[in-house]
This record gives sequence, structure tokens and C-alpha cells, in this order.
Amino acid sequence: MTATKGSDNRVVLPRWRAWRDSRNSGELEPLRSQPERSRSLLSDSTSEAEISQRLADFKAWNGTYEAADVVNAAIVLGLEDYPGVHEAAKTLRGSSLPAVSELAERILSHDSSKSDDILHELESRANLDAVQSRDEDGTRVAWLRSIVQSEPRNSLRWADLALAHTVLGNKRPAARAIRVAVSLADGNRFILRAAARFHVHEGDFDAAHSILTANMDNLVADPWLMAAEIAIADMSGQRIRYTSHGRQLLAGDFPPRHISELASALATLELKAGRIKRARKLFEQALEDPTENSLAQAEWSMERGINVLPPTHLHAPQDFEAETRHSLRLEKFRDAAIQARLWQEDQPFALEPATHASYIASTLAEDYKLAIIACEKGLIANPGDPILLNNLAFSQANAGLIEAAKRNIGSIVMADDAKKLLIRTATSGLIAFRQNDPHLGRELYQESIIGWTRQENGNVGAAMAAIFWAREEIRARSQHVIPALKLVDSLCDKIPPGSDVDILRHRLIDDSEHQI
Amino acid sequence: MEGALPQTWPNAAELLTGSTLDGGWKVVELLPRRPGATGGNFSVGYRVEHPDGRQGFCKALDYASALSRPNTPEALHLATEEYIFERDLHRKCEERRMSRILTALDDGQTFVPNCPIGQVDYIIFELAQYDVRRALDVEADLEATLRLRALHNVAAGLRQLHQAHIAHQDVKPSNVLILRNGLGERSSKLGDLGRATDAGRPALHDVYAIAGDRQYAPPEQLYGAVPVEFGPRRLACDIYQLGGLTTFMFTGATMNSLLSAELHPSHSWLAWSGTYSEVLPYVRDAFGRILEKIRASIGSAVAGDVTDLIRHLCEPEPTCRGYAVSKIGGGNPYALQKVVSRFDLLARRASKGSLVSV
Repeated sequence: MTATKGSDNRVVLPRWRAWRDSRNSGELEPLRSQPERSRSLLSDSTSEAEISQRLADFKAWNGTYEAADVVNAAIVLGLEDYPGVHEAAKTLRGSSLPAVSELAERILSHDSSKSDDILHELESRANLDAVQSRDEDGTRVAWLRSIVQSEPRNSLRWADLALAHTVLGNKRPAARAIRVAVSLADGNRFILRAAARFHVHEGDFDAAHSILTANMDNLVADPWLMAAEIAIADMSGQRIRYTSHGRQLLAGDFPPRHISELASALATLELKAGRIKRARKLFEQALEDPTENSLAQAEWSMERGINVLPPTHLHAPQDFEAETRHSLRLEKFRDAAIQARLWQEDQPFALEPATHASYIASTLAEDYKLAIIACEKGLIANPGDPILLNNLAFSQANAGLIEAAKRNIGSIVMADDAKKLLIRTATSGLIAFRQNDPHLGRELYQESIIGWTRQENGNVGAAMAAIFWAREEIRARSQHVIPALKLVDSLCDKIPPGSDVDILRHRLIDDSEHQI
Repeated sequence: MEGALPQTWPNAAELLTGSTLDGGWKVVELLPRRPGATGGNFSVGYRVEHPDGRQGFCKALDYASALSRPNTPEALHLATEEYIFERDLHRKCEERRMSRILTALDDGQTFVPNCPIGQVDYIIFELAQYDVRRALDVEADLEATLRLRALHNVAAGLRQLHQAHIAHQDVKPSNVLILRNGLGERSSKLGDLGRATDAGRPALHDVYAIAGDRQYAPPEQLYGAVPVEFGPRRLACDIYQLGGLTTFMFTGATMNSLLSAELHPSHSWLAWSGTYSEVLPYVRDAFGRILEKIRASIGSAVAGDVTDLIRHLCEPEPTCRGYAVSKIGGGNPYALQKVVSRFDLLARRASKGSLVSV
């Protein structure tokens, strides 16, 4: 058959990134302002008195350490441009004190960016043309382990270690690391959401729920935690208990970014309940200052015909999933495939970006190399996943890697999921065609198509299988082209225009006109 | 509001040059006022000499300065309280023979005629050669020995204060003073108790969230969190400042400037509007990265040991600050004994083969 992206029942699950890659979301920011008392401590005239005193000492002695004292004070007090500070900073250029020389250079270059941001670039991974090797991921694990060994109370790095293990599919070490992170978290929102996401990845919705509800005071006061709780309950089919608390939080005096995902989560509930007007209103609230997750949710709702996005294209940092969905809507499949790979790099442990990237790349963009990479990457964290193995085999067969395709399609283990079985059967048909056994291929495709027609809502699967069967008949220049195309026509009768199946059907018609 | 005294009236505190104080101290010269200072800055400084050859620094209380401030009664109250508090604190230090705290040699009152307010109260301290910044500039050849011995002395001075239930609150390079005796031998002491807190006696500055210099203040204070108990609020503050001083003496940077540079701008104390416990994970992570930078920056044989000391002294969480071994057995969790011993050991190692005694 074809690759598949699986179910697309999207909820606003918390994203899970290395903590330093999470700063753009607003998730690490405080919800409320402290009393102004603490701020004024650093902005009153005493700060100027402190820097003046040091400048006087520097002028009196003109020594390295007096200059260092000025530079340090200027940075701590936020007075980098105070008269005389640059003069002191210049004294430290080329001194034998590298740490303070670096600070002086920062003042002189007016560099407001932090070394932090530079490191951030090093930590992010966006090499789309290669699967991150296990060695590299293993190196990251070793690096993080060395950090938590020397800084055992560093909860953020314990969470990062859990993520690194999860990316590698190391379930037990990941579970241990996330447990330590939570025990040190002291209610830290980022860690609680990361832990909840970990448990969702593991399929343990109860554990995810427990993490978020362990401190009810925190939960009902924090829209980020509430958004995660509602999304996870929605995904797992549990009763949504805190909708009213969520609505109260939306009515609170929070900056729009803080309530964006909560509004999206509630909008999704309304959408599923068919209350479109309410959903649209909540999405509008979510999009006032959206996270990329909320943007993706809005794009997802657009796919369902709910027009919630404004005419101007909204952006948010790391909005790869939203861009994927947006490009798909515009039928820019190459862009969509690349964005989906970026989404996968951003969430390398997650199944959804892997399945989407491999599906879009192989089926719509016909970039089989990219699809193979997406599958291989996804299979590291999700070993044995039948959808990814199918998509890998499909892509490999199309890329001429028949033996690898046979190996992967043969390694799929599935219990009694009829639809996945039908997908595998169709892909086996493709492999048979590509190894010059059209008779077997034809049989397998037909078996899959018949199977789909017996499934509830199986028309899309049946049409898809028929399209790819017809494609293979055209490619084989066989006498079965016409019956296959007729079958496609009949199965596509009720397929909505603009859908993936419709697009593939038109491609097929084009191909057939060229080849016949 | 205008001050009570016209500026043209003579200021007794500035007219002591040439006079002889009780105890035979001759006032030699008026020292220039330093712009800004922690505290009310209600004092003028003189170099003084004793007939027996000793030299001293005289800190004279400047009532006129207090009277020229807005809200005169409050300023006068503050000046007087600061003076009395510091004088009594030094007397307490003398009684307990705190060898690593700058000695107050004398105190008293003198009278300058023809001034609206002629009384001048003063304290005479040992005269320091310079502070540790200057020592590091001019005596760089001593390198680790000078630094470690000075730090040992500061740690010992803090320990002496803490044993008397006094917290210094303003440990910084300019308050670490290098002295020379008549034989030319160097020593270093901790000076300026102007911002100290005595657990047994309240002071006006006790209410300040940051009693001393912001540059060396512990992060919880910079973020506006003020622990209530004496230990985490005062003793842990001193310990952090000792770590900040250590960082400065080995890298030229302070822990707070390194933190400021390493933290994401939104997590800096200049921007953060949440609580300290909320920002603590980010501070802790930055702290971990800074320690690696410090280790690399020191780059000498003592780098590992010094970095480890800084790790314990500058621990971001005040209740965990100091040496874990001090927290075992229900003793004082902020005891400095191990810190003093480690600095002493490191100083001895660094100076082996050298006769230099700092």
C-alpha cells in the first residue's frame, strides 16, 4: 500500500525539549510579578553609589583587580553603560584573567546575547539529512550523566538526561532520571510537564495524571499544568475533571502566552463536542500570543474545516508542526516534508512527527531518502512501531532497497489490529511488484482493498490501496491498468476534493495519461 | 527639605587634622571621601599616629553630614546608631580576641571649638596598607599563596564572628585588608563591621533585604527572598560572600557577575518577577556551568580544590550552603571549621618551600 501517518487525533500535549531549548515557549517564565520591593533593590541610587565607589578606586590605583571590580559591579547591577565602566573594561583586554576578560569584552561589544544562546545552538540538532547516530546520542547521555554526577541537585539536567535516554529508547534509565527530576522539582512546571509527557510516551496515562495532580494547589493555579492535564485526560479518554478550573484560569489576569495552551486545550474539547462557536472563541484567545503548540492545534482545527486562523500567517519559535500542517494545506509537500523532519528533530522521541514526516515525505513529496531517515530516527525511540516499519519498508521499496524493505515488513509484529494488517498487506504487494512478482503483488493489493472495504470507514484505506496498486500496474505496463483505474474511480467516488487521496488520484491520472 | 545646618558652617568632623585625641593619637591627615558606600556614609577618615610609632585609621562620625540630609532626625538617629553599633561590636571583638578582625585600637570623643556642633565621636582602627585588590595587583608573584592565606584569614575571621553570633554581611575585596607590622611582616584581616548583624542586638540595617554590597550578595537576596532565621539569612550570606570573594581572587570575576552573564536574560534578577524557588533550578544550572568555567580559568594545581570550595560556599540554596559534613550530627549547619581548615591546608601546600607569610 502506502505509508501512513496513523491517527491524527491531536491534543495539546506538552512539548518535551532539553530545558534550554524550551525557553522560547514562555513555559519557563514566572506567572505573576513579585511585589515591586525586590526590583527596587537593584534600581535605586545605592547601585550608582556602589559603582561610583569602585570607579573611584579604579581611578586611584588603575589596577587590574580594581578594573575587574568595576566590570563585575556593572554587570551585576545592570550598569554596563555607566560612565567610566568601558574604560575599566578596556584595561582588562588581554589580561591574564580569562573569566573577567570575557565579561569585559561583553561590555565593550554591547553584546546582550548570552553564551547561553550560543550553547543553545550547539545543543539543538537539525541535521535533516542524517539520522542522529546512536554514538552521538550516547555521547549526550554520557555528558548529561557526568553533569548530574557533579550536580546531583540539578533537576533540569536530570530531566534532560531522561529525555536523552528516551530518545535512545532506554526506558528504565529514562524512568529513573525523570523520577529524580520530579523529586527535585519542587513544583517546577517545566519538569512536571516533561515528566507527564514522558509517561504519555510510555503509554502510562495514570502516571502522567498523577504527576500533574500531585499538588492540586499548583495545578489549579497554573494554566500550563492545567493545559497538560486537560490534554492528557482528553487523549486517554478519561473524564475531564478540571474544565471549570481551566475556565477560571482563562479569566485570570495572566499574560496571553501563559494561557495560550490552556485555551487551545479547552477549544479542542469544544470542537470535539461540536460547539464550534465556543471553540473558535477559545482559539482566538489561544492565538493572542500563541505557543507553537497552540499554533499547531489551530492548524489542525483548520484541517477539520474550523477557520480559526487569521488571514495573516502567524509564526512562533520552533513552530515546525504548525508549518508542516500549514504547508500541507497549501499542498506544498516538499516544504511540509522538511518542516515535519524539523518537527521530528525538535521532538525526536515522539512517534507523531516520525509518522507524519515519513508519510508526507514518502507519499506526498516522494522524497524516499528523507522518509527513510525519518523512519530510522523514529524507530530508535519507538522500536518495533508497526507504522514506522511499514513506512520504512514502503520507502525502501520505492527507493529500490528491496531486501531491506522485505526485512522490515517482515519484522512487523502486530496482534489483532486489522487496519494495520491491511496496510502491511498492501505494502507487501508493493514489494512483490518491485521484485518482479506482479501476480503476488496484485493478489496482496486486492486482499488489502477488499479488507478495507469491509472495515468501518475503510473507504479511504481502500482508495489509497487501489491508487498504489494502479500505480504499480502502470509502472509494470500490465494489462491490469484499466481495471485498476476503474476501481480507483469507484472507490474515490466519495472522497472529498483536496484530500490526500484526491491529490494522489490526480497524480495517478497524470501518470496514466503519460504512460498509456 | 533643607538640612538643619547651612553648608558654609564649619564641620567639626573635617577639622581634626593637627589635633591630638585621647590616648595620645595625633591626627595627621584627612583622607579623601570615597564616593558612595554601603551604609549612610556618615563618617570621615583620617590617618593618625601614636607617639609609640603605631599608625591608625580614624573613623570620625560626621554629625554635620547627617544634619544636612533630608529628614534630619532620622539621619541623625541612623548615624548615631551606626556608630554605637560598630563601636560596641569592635569592643565585643576585642573582648573575644578576634585576631582576624581588624582591631579597633581606641574610641572616644573630642571637641572642636567654634563649630555649631563641636563634638566628634571616633573609632581608631589599625591602619591597613591596602585592600586585597591592590595586593593582587602589586604582589602577583605570590599568586596562590597570597590568595589562599588571605582567604584562610577571612574564613577564620568569619568563624570568629560566627562563634560570637555575629554575621559580617559585607565580605568583599575592599574589606579584606593587608596590614604590615613594624617588622614588615604582612597579615590580612577582615574589616568594616558597619553592616554586621549581632544576633543578640538589633541594628537599624537588620531590616534591609541586602545589608551589604549587592555585588557579593547571595542570589536569594538579589531575587528578593529573605530567609527569616539567622542561619540561612545571615550566616549563609557570609558563606556565599566568602565564596564570591574566592571566585574574585582567583578569576577576577565575581560569582554574581558570572551568574548574570550565564543566566538567560529573562532569568536574571534584573528581570525575574517570580519567586526565588521558581528561578532556583535555572540559577543552579547556570552555577554548574560557571564552576566548570572557574576551574578552567584558574588552570593551576589548586583549581580542583578551589572550585570545590566555591561549589560549597556559593551553593545557590541557602539551607544547603557550606560543607555537608558540618550538617551531620545536628551541629551548626553553617560551621566554618572545615572551610578554614581547607583554606589553611591549601595555603600551606601552595607556600611550601616559601618563607612568605601573608
